[in-house]
Amino acid sequence: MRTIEKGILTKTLLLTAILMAPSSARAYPPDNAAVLYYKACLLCTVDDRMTGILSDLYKGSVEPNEQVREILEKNRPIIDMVLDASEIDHCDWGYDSSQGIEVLTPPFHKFRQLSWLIAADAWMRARQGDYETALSRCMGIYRMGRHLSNGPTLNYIVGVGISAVGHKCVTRILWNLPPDAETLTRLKTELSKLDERPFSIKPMLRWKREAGIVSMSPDKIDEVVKSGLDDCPFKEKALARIRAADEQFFAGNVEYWKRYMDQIQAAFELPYPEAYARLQQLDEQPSQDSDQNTDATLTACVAPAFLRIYALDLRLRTESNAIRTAVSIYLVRATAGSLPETLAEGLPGDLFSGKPFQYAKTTDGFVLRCQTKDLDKNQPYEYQFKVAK
Amino acid sequence: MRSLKDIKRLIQRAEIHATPEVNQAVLESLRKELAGLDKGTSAVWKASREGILGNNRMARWGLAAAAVVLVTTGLVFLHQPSRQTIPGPTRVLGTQASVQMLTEASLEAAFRRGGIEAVYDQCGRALQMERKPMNPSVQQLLAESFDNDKNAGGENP
Repeated sequence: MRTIEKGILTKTLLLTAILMAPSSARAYPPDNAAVLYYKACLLCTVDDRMTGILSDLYKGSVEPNEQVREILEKNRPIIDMVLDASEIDHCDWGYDSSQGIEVLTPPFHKFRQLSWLIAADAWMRARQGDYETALSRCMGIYRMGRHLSNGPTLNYIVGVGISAVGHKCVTRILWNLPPDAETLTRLKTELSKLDERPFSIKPMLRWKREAGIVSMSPDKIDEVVKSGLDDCPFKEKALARIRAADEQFFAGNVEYWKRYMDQIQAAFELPYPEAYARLQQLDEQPSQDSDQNTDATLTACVAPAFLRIYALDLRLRTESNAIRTAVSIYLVRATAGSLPETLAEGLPGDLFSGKPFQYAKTTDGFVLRCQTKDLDKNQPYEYQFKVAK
Repeated sequence: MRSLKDIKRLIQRAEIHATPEVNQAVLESLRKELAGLDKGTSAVWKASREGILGNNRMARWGLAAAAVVLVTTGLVFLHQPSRQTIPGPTRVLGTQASVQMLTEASLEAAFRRGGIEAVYDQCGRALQMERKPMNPSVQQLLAESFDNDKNAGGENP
């Protein structure tokens, strides 16, 4: 009897072990994309020389060559790792929210290197005629940009930068893409799928609001001011006020910050010219107020350049719309045999004016122009698209 | 490796500025070395050392002078033009600074100064400071050892 029981026990244990084994083998990819991104940053072997080559390639001053091919081969496992990471839905960067604005960030320059690597690989594939893989690489860059944007201010800004690499990559591939309706339709679908994980500034604004509150405490604010402000008379004044501060000072400053962030969040919802004017005013307000009102002191210390962030955000999203509109135009050419005379209704528009892009044919393709200028640059953006012969 | 003659010539040419603080630091190092010897030496050696040093002021001063020469040699090496450039700050300082350079607050300041390029640049510099050479030169080892001694002296007066 005891022998039978032992036998059953042994079999049960063996069965459990067998059932457990495949689950541990399925541990890759992990359920958090950040794990793979951090690993890729750690293992990426792009030195200064290679960065220079990739940068030249990105700027278009060199064509894909043997050196680029070597860099790509050397980093092939890293590229695959980043593309795997980009496919994972969940991405938690592991920030400690109790650190407020003093939170440590990842090495962001590594993410630019990673995006350049993938863009270089995409261009290499496109040159070999493998447009499908090339464009899927670009989607990987976009997804990485979206993962990055979900976090603190700098994450968002770097996410914008990475997405801009994706835009350039897609644009350059479209310039050389033969009129192939199937590939273009697939690209259009892939671009729409990206909206399932929209690129939004709202999480960053919420993060900033909470981090600011955490940092405005007696044990944290001193370090924030020391590392977050360049040496200037205002910094000295702020540190002197902090040294003499009491509970009332901190409570008043937190209330000022909350009101300020509510106004910032509301300003981001306004149409472009109004948002620009309001953010310009809000960027200057805390330092002006702090002369007379000590409650504005800490907001003047921790508020980032919101107008600059807004400009980056709007520019990125407008360029994104330009690419989607361009894909539709390329698709018309692939099916009808020539570029359309006018833009179809309902295509994504220029976010500076809130109107459709101005469309015009050129000698080697077409151009999409914004109808309102960027008030920072004092000129409207235009996006050139070439057409493969 | 330099020959003894070269070292002697370097010391002869070197300008030595000994201050009371330097002398004190040398004596402190010496005392620490002696205390270390106490833990791991035989009774015979201890007795003979105490016999030589304990009752002989000339021997103590001789030993101190030897230590001054040793430290000076180190300093001369440090001030020689180096073939291999030593990275700016020391490791301890470098680590503290690089961590501060990677905080959100510090990178926001970089963004205000020079946009996204300034952010990438600061991240790159922070990691560069973290990178330690695989084969440190004699100068680097001496520099590090000298710094560690200073730190240890500060903690254990």
